[in-house]
Amino acid sequence: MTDSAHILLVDDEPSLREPLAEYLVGQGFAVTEAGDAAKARSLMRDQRFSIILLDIMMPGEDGLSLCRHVAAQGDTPVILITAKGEAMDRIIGLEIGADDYVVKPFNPRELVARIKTVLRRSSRAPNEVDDNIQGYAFDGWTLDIVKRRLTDPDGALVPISTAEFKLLQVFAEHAGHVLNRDQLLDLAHGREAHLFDRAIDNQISRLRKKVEVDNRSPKLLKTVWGGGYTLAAKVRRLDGPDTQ
Amino acid sequence: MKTGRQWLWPSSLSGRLIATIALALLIGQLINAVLLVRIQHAQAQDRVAAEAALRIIAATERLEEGRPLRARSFDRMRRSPGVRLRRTDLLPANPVTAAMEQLPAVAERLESILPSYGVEYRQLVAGMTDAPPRPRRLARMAADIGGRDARQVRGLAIVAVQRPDGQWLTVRVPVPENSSRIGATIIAQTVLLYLVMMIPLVWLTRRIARSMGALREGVARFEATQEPQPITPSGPSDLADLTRSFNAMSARIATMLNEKDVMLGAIGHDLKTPLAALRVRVESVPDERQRARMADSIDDITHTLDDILSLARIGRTGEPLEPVNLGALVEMIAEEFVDLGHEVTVADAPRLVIPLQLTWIRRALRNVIGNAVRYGARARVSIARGADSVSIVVEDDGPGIAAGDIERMFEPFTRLEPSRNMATGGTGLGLTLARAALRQHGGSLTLANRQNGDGTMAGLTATLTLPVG
Repeated sequence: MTDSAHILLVDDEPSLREPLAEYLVGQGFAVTEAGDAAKARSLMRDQRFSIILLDIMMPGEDGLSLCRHVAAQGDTPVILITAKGEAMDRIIGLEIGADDYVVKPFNPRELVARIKTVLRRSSRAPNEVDDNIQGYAFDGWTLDIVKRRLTDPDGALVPISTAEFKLLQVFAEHAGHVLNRDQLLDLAHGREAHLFDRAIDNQISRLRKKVEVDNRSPKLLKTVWGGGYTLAAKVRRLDGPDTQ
Repeated sequence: MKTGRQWLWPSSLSGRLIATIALALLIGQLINAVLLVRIQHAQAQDRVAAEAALRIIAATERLEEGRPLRARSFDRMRRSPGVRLRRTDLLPANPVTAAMEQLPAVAERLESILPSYGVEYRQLVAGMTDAPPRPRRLARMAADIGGRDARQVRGLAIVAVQRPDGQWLTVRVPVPENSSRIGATIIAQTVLLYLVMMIPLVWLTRRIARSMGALREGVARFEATQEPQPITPSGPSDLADLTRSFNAMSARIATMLNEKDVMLGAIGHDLKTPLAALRVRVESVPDERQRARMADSIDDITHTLDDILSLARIGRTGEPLEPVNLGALVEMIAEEFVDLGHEVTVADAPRLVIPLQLTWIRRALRNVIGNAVRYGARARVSIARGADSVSIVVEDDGPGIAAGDIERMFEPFTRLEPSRNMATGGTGLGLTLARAALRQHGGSLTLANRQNGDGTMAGLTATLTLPVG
């Protein structure tokens, strides 16, 4: 799959763009470079890319604007490259519908891992209706997919790690289903995850500590004898306003 | 912290202004009163001296003409020198004794009057009779000096002139009372002045105070938000000018702060892009050990850069306060460290929801717990709820910090063990940032050494305190 993946790399800085393109080619991708948004737009008119890597800060039209354009055009996934940290998760998805982002200076291996994850997600569900999903609500709790946060029945933020968040998201997406460790690993962390299956138990126990009233007799994240775990609650999808 | 003195002396501008003017007015009126009383006193003595002089001159004339001092019977009915001579006597001895109250001012005036009327005398004395006359007589005497009742006569003055033949020509003159109306006049005057001055003064100072209040609130608002919100200039021109200057200054400061943010963003971007390029190129280094070291160095630079940018931006991020479950936050951070192979335990994580800027408090906790596992081998975290605050206590089992160095730890770029720090990649900004983040929330961060029972160092305790409610 990745062998044929064609990446459009949009960055105004040749000092970063060139070595990055070189590296990605070395990793088995086909890479086309664009020095600005205008060039990227014209390239996109002529051909179809598997994924777009987009630098946010560029002279002329910036990455965010181009990202909106891409999102409006179709389903080509976008990974943003940014110099900012902190409040980035809010920008992502919320306004522009990017699929992921990396913060400069990123580890190129991590970038490749993210590219693969995004590609796998988009190839698995090419036109799923879930595009507009904002989050899930269960038993008073709210899992906000866009802002990536968990809110308790009283409206207080409950900080949880990314791994726990993904796990909870998987449970919400498969509400009522019993998921075994392999399924959870695969769904939450992807096939390349180097986690051993006990890590899932660990994460479940941590999650329970946060969402259960009494984590010795869990009411939400139940253990199914001999099988795995399930989210035993009525899950409601939260849809955002229709974009475009 | 109001002392008695502050209570007596108002602290506000308008209060002080009014109090000062009221006090000055009062002192002025007191001086006025003293002067009036003195003038009245001098006038009374003038009257006594004039009356005495008239009688002495009249009596001297009679004596020199050989007539008796007092004409009897019908003379009394006319208002003539006879009436005036009613209390005039010729005595063989000086009637003014040393025990009497002397009236030197009256004597002095007479000495300047009498010689010009040809009255010869050996000596002249004046004093008050020590036996005051009966009230009825006082009333009559009062009528003599033109008053209406006895209260206006203070007493009887005796003026004696020793004639050349050695006899004492003695006259008794009623001394008018100092009018009590002076006091009343002064008080009425003062009250009137107060009314006339204080009403416009209170109005004026209140107006000034209102303008200054608006300015003060504007300054406080700017301090809190760092957003310039122009204040409408009002009040006297100096205050209006001050308000305009403040508006200009706050606008300039806001511009500078915005420029600073833009500049920091640009610096961040301009440094991070080449760092990113370097990080990508590092992957082509064949030697794995070299590659790892280079990547670590780049990470160090990035962390330092991030910390510097954060420190410069703290309070300017505009991140909203959100209710956060603090217990869950502490547990999540502890778990992050556990996942990295560190020994971090959370003793008690109650569900405690506080409005926080999540990213900053998360960062503060990461920095403090990170220090504990780096220098203190392990971290024990507990959460203690106080009356109006909550404390997150992080204990380590490390060597502690020399007491004199504790405060220095919060200064930027302070590293106590430089050699060790270089290896572990500390930026020297962690505690500075953590403390700034807590202060931003109205909280505090303190460090204290912990000792065992035998006095040996047990480790360092960091306490992060946040206000509640």
